[in-house]
Amino acid sequence: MPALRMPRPRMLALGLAALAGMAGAAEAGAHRIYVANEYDASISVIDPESGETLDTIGISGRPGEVRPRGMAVSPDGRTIYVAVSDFLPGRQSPEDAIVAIDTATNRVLRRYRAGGNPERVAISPDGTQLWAALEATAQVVGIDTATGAEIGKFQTGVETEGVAVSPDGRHVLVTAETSHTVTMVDARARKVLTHLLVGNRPRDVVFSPDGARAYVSAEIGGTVSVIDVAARKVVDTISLGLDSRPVELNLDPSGGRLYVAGGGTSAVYVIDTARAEVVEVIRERMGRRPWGLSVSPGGERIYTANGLSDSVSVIGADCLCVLDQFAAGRGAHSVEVGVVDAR
Amino acid sequence: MARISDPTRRAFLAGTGAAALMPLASALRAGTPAAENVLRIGATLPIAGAALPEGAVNLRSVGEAARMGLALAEEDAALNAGLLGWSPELAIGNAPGAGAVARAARRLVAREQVSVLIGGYTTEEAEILSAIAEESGALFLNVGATSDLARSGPCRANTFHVEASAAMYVDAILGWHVRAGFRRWHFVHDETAEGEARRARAAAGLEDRYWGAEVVGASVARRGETRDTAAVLDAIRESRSDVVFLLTDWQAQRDFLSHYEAAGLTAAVVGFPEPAAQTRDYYFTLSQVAPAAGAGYRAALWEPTLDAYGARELNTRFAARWGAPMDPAAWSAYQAVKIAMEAAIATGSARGEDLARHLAREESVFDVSKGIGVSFRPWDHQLRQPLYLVKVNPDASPSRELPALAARASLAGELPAIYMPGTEPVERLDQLGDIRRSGECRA
Repeated sequence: MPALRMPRPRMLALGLAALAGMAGAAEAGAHRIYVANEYDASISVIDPESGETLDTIGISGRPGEVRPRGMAVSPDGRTIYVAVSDFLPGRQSPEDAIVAIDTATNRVLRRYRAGGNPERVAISPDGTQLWAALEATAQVVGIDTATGAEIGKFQTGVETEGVAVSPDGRHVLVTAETSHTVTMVDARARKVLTHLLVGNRPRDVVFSPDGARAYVSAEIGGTVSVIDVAARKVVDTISLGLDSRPVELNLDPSGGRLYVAGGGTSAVYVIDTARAEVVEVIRERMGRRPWGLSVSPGGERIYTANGLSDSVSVIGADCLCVLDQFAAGRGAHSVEVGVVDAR
Repeated sequence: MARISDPTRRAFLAGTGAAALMPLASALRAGTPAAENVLRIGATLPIAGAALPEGAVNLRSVGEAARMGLALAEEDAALNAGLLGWSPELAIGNAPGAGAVARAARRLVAREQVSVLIGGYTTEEAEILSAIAEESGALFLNVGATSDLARSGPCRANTFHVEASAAMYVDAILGWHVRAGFRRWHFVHDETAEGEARRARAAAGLEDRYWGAEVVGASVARRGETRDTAAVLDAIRESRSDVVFLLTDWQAQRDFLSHYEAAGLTAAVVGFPEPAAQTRDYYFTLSQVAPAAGAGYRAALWEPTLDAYGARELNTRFAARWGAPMDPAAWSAYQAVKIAMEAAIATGSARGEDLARHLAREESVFDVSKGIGVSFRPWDHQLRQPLYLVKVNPDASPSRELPALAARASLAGELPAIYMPGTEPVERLDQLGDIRRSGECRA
């Protein structure tokens, strides 16, 4: 599939330094963009330099019935985990799985049975645990990546969605859309620590690099809640506007900037985390309804998966402007960056 | 599980127990922490009994839908609020008619000590519940009465309207149809104050907002008067209207449509969507009595085939719980519980006055699975919200299977459109309904 051709500044070649922020990433690696296409039941593999679609990985032969949504990338960047489910959020089916894709071959390595309509997935920093938000059963489940065995399953609010594992691997945070809560799980003790009230319809959650803070987007509230992880409290709420409908969010490698996809305004909000303020709103040339958002390993690029444009917007961190648009599949939901060995 | 007030406790329990529980409910109960705070909610529903007035017989399906919505809301709230140390206690009073509503509501407040009342399926019922709420300090959430008359005049500080107002429905219907090219309107209304108010609002809507459209006729139809119907049909024919707006109740709409179809008139017909005229059963009735004229476009508070914004998840949970589509009456009852529960959590109080003060704040925003944060207008306590355009299926099936029930109508549009970057969302929602600050509640 050809890239959408638009005038753009020359993209910088990403050298070794750009990958240094990715723990355990192969030194000789180059990165690829992986986009979960909700309505095509596929994953687009895109070259970040040319925007060319290098491969399209079929997740199911039943597009429109089976959908890939949230994704996570392994610490070494070489495995992409995809939350796959059907379109019937109240039903558990064999399609409810976490699919692991090998970035070297673009083949499915393994399917982890998850149950409960998994919507988003996270991986522990050591790569040994998968955590999936089970929308249908209002639970979060931990899965051993080596054996596929269930580590634990914990109750959340109704319509579980976002999930994140802390950098030290101890805490798992899970959002629930109808209870407006974040559930904090102790992954070592395997117990629920607390439930925190955040903004209306929380979608995604991400930890700061040092694990001290976590940030939660609230789609209907139009806010980002800031959680003090040690204190287990919401310590700040950043308003993006009622119409912003923020969904995925991610930090740059330093943790100084938080990028938030604004699905309602087709914008990306840039938050200075030290000031807890929106410092820039990127609107010009953005794709429609950005839903997924990822940051390149070195922090130079921000990628958004645009559900109404079936595209990926490429944003430069220096200019905070849209540099390019790449074509993706139908209903681009999430975007992640994986590593492939240099050939 | 909802506790049921006399006299139909057994019937309610039987109905609830017959439904298969989805995995979520049982999974959640097991892990819900013990609640420290309780919010007691009472609802008055027109479900059964010989006292149900003949003219309100169709309210049975509305009441039943509301009961199912309340039960699902209580189950969801038990989990969601339970995470934060709260739990709901729901008591339902069977109240077929205004007198029964008054008795049930007073009993719910006195005996069950509810601080939230839910109900109001006629203007009279809403007025009664509103008055009892003011007397008792309870919060009243109107989930069925559309009357603009009930929303104007002296402020009832504890009364809030989850149901859309007549003005909102009228504006939605006018907007959709005028943009679709329907310019010559003929109104048919009844002789009640409510009927006249609907006609006046519709006429003002056309005059104020749609200069390219005009009222070419208006007729009064008295219920059961077939001579009136013949005269109205003649008037419509003579007016050469291209759309007829039935501003009557559900029963008169149904009867009129059968005559209209038989008379061979061809102008499009749209009906005022009071709750009893928004059910899947009613849509099926229309498709049977008037397969052409009855199968047009209608406005609705909610649509069970809505598939975006979290609506998919809510509709699916409801269908899995009850084996039926989520009719608008179920949705409004569900959201009333959710809104009350969230107000209790936000304020830390179960007192009706505290909840009402929270709802009246412009900053209090709620998620009702319509894809945009909604709030109550401070001056009349009307919930700002999008409405939906649905198309009645002329080939609707009598089957009670879920897919067949769902297919009795389909989603055709949304007003206002939710995805409109660059516009102010509250102003967008206020495009529906009377934005003159006619109510006397203070912002």
